[in-house]
Amino acid sequence: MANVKLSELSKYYGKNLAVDNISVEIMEGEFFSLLGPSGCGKSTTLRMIAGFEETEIGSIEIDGVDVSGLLPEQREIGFVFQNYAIFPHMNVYDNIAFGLRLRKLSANEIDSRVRAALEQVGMTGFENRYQKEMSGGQQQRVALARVLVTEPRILLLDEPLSALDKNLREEMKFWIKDLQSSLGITTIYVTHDQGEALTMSDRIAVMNEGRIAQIGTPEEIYEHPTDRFVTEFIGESNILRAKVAAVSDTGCELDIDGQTVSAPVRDGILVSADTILALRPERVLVGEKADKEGWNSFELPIKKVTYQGPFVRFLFALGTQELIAEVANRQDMEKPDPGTKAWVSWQSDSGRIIAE
Amino acid sequence: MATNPTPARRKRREAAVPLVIRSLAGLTLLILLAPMVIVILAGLNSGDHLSFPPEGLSFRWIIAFLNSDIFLPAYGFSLVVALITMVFSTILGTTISIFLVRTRFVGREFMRAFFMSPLMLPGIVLGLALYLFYISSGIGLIRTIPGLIVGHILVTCPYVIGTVSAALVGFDTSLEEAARSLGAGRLQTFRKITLPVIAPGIVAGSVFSFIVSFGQFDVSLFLTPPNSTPLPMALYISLRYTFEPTAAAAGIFAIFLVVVSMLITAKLTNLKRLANVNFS
Repeated sequence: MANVKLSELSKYYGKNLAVDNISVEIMEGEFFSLLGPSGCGKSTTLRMIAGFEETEIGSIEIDGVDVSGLLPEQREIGFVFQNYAIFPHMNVYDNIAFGLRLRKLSANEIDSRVRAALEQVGMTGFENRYQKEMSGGQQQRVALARVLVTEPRILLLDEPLSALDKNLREEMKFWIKDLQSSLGITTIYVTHDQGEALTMSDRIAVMNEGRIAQIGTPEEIYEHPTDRFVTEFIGESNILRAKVAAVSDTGCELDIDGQTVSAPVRDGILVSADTILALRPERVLVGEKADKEGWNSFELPIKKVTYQGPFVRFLFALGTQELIAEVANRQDMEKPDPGTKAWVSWQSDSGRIIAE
Repeated sequence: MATNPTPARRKRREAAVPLVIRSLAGLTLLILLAPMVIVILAGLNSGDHLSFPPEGLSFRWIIAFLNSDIFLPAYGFSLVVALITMVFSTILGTTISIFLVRTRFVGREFMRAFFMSPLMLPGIVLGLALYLFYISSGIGLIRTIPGLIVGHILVTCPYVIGTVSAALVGFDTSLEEAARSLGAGRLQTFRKITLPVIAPGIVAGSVFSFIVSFGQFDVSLFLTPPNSTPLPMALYISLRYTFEPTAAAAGIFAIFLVVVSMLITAKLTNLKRLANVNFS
């Protein structure tokens, strides 16, 4: 088990800056995710930690020792690839024994450790299978067993679920997380899927254009995104253009296309300045008037109602803009028709004024 | 209600490959096989002259081949040259492929074309060029066995480069990274991961180079040492003056050698596949 410290890490590909000055410390036993769209530098960062890409600018420390000059084979890191990289010419047993044989352990020790690893990932009985004879999920388990059996200091996972189908992905998500917490191994997980990151991580770094946009727990990232990129990338948000009408210590009043709305205050906002209000669709209630302190509540015309299974999505006209509301699909819910008007309400501090 | 299975059902029975293509394939196969059948029958002829159809079947000319002081040594010489050529071509072709596939530099495509050019050049031109080069450079390779083998390597190497490059292009480099990360050094990774995975490409390339070298005529024409004659040349020389069925008998042995080497490759690759299935 180990902690990992990235300091002022950058990576150029030719003139392209793939990773831009990243500094972060990952705690011992932590499940840490790098989350971002493709090309944001998350995989490059992971591959630099593993030693597959050279570190030219900045440093990578594991347990306080700079490893940036070490070869991959010297780093004692477990890496699970997106395509699992099971050696096709070896059976499962030999795949898992590969790292142990390099360490020149006795045949007995290798055998007992391989069998223990197979049991740990629930693949006992698959010793003689080859890569072509296994499903994606099974290969995934073998790939994990192959790295865990060598007792690496840290575990790096590069989009390990993206090649699986949806149901299996859900299952593996919880399985990997459980395995990780029972082993207590420091894990860095790269994904573009916010659902995976939110479900599995202790902390998440949201990356964009080579930089870390925000670091925090899943809850902090989801509830308190600090900028427009994170707001839009994590979950869905209404992004409403507004003008600041009044500011007080406790909150502010915004004018959204003529509709006055109250929102929590943000440092540095000035009256009559243009700003943006972000609001999660699931925070908007539909059909009931909330005549309470600290709530916004008004009637808006419905443009569209979409049935989406677990929830129903409403599209309202808010001046020239649109307001989306997502309501849990209950049997007793009202489903007003498009063209009519309905009450929308949200707690004013669930809205968020964000920087561009 | 009457069931009418005709139109829809009949369509299902349609062959995966249309009849035209199947007939063309069959015809091609026939054209390719016919000469071989003719050579084999001619070699088993009991008559005195090379003729087809044979006058009767006998092992007369097979025995003559085995006792011949021209064809048998020529056969052995070609075999040795082909084996040495195969070893060098395989090693050189594999390293060249790795270099060409794995490195990025300006002029890489030009270099690949350059390495493959012996395939495009007529053998006679290549042979003549090498001959002139040996003479003018005075490096002592004129009409020597090493000089001949160098020529054969030039001609056969592109086959290895072709098959090994194809294997390398499809090779997933994350396999190597996985091995490195598990603690294997560069050379260990190459030996234990890269080499076994691209092995079918290497084997295919070496079998090609063996067969091409064994049947090589035009390059050999210029480079063959005075006292040893490769089989294709021995056949040609013999048929210019006599019309003996021994040549056809030698042909039988040449065909046999090629078929055996093909079978060995097929067996090697098949065994691997069989192993994969059997242990499951």
